[in-house]
Amino acid sequence: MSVDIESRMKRANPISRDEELDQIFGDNTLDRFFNEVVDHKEGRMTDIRPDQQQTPEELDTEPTQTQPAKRLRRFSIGLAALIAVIAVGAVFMFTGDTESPVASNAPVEADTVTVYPKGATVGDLPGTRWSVYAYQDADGEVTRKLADTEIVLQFSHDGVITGTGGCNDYQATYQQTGDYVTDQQGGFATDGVFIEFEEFTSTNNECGSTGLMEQEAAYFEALQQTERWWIGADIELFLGPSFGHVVLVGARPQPEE
Amino acid sequence: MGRVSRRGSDANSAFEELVRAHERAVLNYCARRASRADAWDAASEVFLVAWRRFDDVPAEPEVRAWLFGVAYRVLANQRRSAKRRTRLFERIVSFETTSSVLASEPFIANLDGPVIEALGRLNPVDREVLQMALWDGLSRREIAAALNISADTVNKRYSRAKNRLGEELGKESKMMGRATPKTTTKGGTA
Repeated sequence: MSVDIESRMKRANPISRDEELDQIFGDNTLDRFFNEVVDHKEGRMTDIRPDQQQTPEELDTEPTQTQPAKRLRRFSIGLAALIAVIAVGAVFMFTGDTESPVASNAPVEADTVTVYPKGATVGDLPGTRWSVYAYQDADGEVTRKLADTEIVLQFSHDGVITGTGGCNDYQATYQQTGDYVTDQQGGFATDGVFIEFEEFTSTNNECGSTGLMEQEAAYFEALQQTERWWIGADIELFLGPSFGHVVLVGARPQPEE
Repeated sequence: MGRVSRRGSDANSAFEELVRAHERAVLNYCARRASRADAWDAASEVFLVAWRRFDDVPAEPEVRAWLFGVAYRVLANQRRSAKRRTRLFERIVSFETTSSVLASEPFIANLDGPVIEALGRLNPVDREVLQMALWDGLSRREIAAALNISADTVNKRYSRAKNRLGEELGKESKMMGRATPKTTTKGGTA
């Protein structure tokens, strides 16, 4: 039986002979592909490999840390520029007003900027339990959860998440697919772990508070948007559709129940 | 080819050597799992990742598994992006790859349809283990490296995938077996 399955599987191989590549992609596939890759690399080098423009002395410093460190530096420079712009705008609009123009969710945003992955791997998540303290609300802003409410996210060792959204209990399966990813949109190789939640189910209770129900709906929505996770500098769990795009933040892990 | 630091003056030529050595394998890998256009883009992206992370590219003979690992994630990323574009709240059942995508490609029109369909019903990682072993010719150790899982897990997933594929194909055969007599009876022929 098993031999038959393996043989049949092999026969189902869409490309089993070298010449099939040209049939699929046209003549001289490999030459065209090679030229495109090299052109692409050269054309994007200033965007994706800024460190190539630096001196050899600069490049000699701690090569294993250059990617996150430089990314962090770029983030920091960008953040500083953004803050400067906001500050100028704030002075322009609110002269004499000492109140910060930064939204109340600033600490969360600051966290997402100032942390970077710590080499988290798929093995780090199973068996952990997180008290979620911030989530992306319906307006797309990362907001701290309501006081006196509890959102729990627990990862089992057998690929299931359970917890409460504050009113209803929920469950889903989760699957991780590797310990690093590529952010194609941003053009940077980023760290973080792919994760996907599926088969999401929850109880269907109504709780009195409108705010709580809205919060829970936003939390469930954020969970379903999640495609990557990474660990922040203070052992916080970040989840989002891409690295740096946070939809959920979990506080320090608690013992699994 | 040994590991070549990107800081070396010959990084460009080393990279080109790497592309030449592995472009066919990477293109094949991607074309076995995605549409023609997506496969081409994904394979190109794989080598751009290799360029960006040149210091992380292992020495031979581990390069191929490393590149396949990147390709696996690039393709997964492509599928996620496609899914995100086509749905916000709707869920697409885990059948996310082989049959729906490949079935539209003319170059596989004559493939074993039931196998392709059944593959689509497997757990995605289990399916990948099976495909890497039987389509791409990776050893269990290479699969473990590519998917960042242990060799033991590869073995478990391989067995599970093979058994599940057998079950799925068995179901298919039974359904076809039931369908045939009904058709003949309705037609009134023996």
